[in-house]
Amino acid sequence: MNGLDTIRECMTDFLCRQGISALTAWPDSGRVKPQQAVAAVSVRRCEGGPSGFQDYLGERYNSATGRWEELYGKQLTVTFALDLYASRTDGAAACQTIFDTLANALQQGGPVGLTVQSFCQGEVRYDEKSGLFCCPVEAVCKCFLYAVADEGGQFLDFELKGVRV
Amino acid sequence: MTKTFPTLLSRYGQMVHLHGEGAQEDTLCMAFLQAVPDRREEQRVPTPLGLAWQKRFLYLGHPGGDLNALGDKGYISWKGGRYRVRTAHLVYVGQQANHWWAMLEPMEEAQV
Repeated sequence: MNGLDTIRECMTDFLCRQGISALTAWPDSGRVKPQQAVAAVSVRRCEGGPSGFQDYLGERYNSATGRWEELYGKQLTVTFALDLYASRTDGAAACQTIFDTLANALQQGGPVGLTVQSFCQGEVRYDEKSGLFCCPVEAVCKCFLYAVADEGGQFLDFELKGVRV
Repeated sequence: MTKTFPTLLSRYGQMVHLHGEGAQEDTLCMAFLQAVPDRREEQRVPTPLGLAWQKRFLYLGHPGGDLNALGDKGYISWKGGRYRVRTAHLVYVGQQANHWWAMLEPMEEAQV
């Protein structure tokens, strides 16, 4: 199982808890007209890198099984797209307002398991086809993706640090 | 022409409901409302905010139903469907307003 399965949902839930209207981008359901400016969360880029010798992170003792487990993992840099959308009625200023709230939320650390390194905002533009103002926003986060192996070397599980999937 | 169009409307048109923005009163009027078929495009396309309709409807309506007065939040309803005005123009024949020409799109449901 890929521990990155729910990473978008983690960011979406975090933003919603901070009072920001957010949804996971590209849903299969029909588009609803946002009552206020909304952030669409997706992963724009994900890069993995070594974090230990041959990805070996060390051992931990599992008291439940009474066995030692080996940990292997990578450090990931995930660039989230948090593009903001506002209706024509709300105007471009609504994008800036929601970005201010989003920036405050990201400065406080971000979701559990993800460390926000930086974030940036692009220029607001109007999409005539959708009738919405759009403001591109990116947030770069770091996290660890590691796997647990038993004493025989068989991998038992994959975890995103701070999030069990 | 100016007498022909109302006759055609009354005989072959559809009764539509114009819903104005805010406290404006709603208006009933006759119009031709038909889907604009386009085999090149899909009806619904994915967008970051969900599946969006690409379907368009042509509106030819009575000159008495002022579409510009609907406002940004106004809409037209017909047979249970609601439609937003993308563009609207009042067409004149000679010195007399003959009909409203408009392009409509299905209205998205407002998020609760």
